[in-house]
Amino acid sequence: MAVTDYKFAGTTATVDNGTSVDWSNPDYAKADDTSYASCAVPKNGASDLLTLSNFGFSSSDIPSGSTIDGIEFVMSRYANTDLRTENALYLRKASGRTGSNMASTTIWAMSSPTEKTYGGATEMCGTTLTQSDIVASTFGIELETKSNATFYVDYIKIRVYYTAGGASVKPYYYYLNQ
Amino acid sequence: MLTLESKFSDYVEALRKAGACAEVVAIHDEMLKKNPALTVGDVYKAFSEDPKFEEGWAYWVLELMGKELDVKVREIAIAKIKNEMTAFQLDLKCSNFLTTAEKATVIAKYEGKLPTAEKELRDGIVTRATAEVKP
Repeated sequence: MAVTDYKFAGTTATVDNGTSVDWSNPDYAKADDTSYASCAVPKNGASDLLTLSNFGFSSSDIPSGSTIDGIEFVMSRYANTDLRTENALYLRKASGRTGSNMASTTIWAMSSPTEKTYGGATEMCGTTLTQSDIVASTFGIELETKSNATFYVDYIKIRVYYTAGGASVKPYYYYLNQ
Repeated sequence: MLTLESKFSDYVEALRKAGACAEVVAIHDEMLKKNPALTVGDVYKAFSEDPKFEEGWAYWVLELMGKELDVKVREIAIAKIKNEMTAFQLDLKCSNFLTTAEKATVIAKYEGKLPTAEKELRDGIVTRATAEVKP
C-alpha cells in the first residue's frame, strides 16, 4: 500500500444548508497559515456547509487503475466556547455528499487551533471511491457545526492510501517459459 | 416524576427549576396561559406531530431533565430524534438514566453510521455518563 502527500483544498465555499449561517472567509481554509474560515453559530442553530474541494490529486499521485484503500484527513480547528464539536463531516465526490458522517465527538480546542485526524489507511469513510473520483476537482469534504459558538477552521488536508493497480496480466505461456 | 397525565404547569415549573433559560420558559408560560388545563401528554403529542418542531428540542429536554420524565414521556422525545449525531450525543450524556430498552433504541439510531465517533467511544476517548441503568 502506498500513500500520497497531504494536499490542501484549491476551492472552498459556504453552501446554504437551510440555516443561512454563512462561513466567513472560506478561502482561509485552503492553507496552513493561521488565517481561519469562521462561522458564528447562534443558539440552537447550525452552520451552513463549509465545502472544500479541488485537492489537486493527479495520476502522478495515484496511478490510474489503483485501488483506493483509505482516506485520511486532518482538520486544524478551534472554537471560542468550550465543549463544542462538529455535527457533520462528510466526503464529497461528483455526485455530492458521500459515505458516513465522519464527525468526531472530541471537543474543539478553545483559543488556539489543534489538529484532529480522521479516517486512516483502511478507512473508506463509508463509501467506495475510485482513482478517478479522487483526481476529480469535485472530490473533497463538507463540514457543518452546531450550537452557540464561533468555529474556526485553519485548514483541512487530505491524503489517500492506495494500492497501485494496472499490473499487467501475463499470458499463460509466459509462465510456462519461466 | 412527570407523566403524560401530569399537569403542564408542573412540567413548566420543573423546567424552571432545572435551569431552562427565561426565553424558553416564557414560551411554555405562553402556551399555559392559552390553556391552563393542558397536560404533558397534550403538549408532547403536539410536539411529536409537528414536523417543523426540530429534534434539538428533544435532545435539550432529555439532557436538562430527562430523569424527571416518565419513560412514556421520554419515548416521545426519543422518537423525535432522527439525526445520528444527536442520538450519539444523547447516548453519551443520558446513559446514566436511560433504561436498557431506551438505550437500545438510541444506539440503533446511530450504530454503524458514525465511524469516527463510534471508534472514539470504543477507545475510551469519549465516555458515556456514569452508568446507572434502570431495568
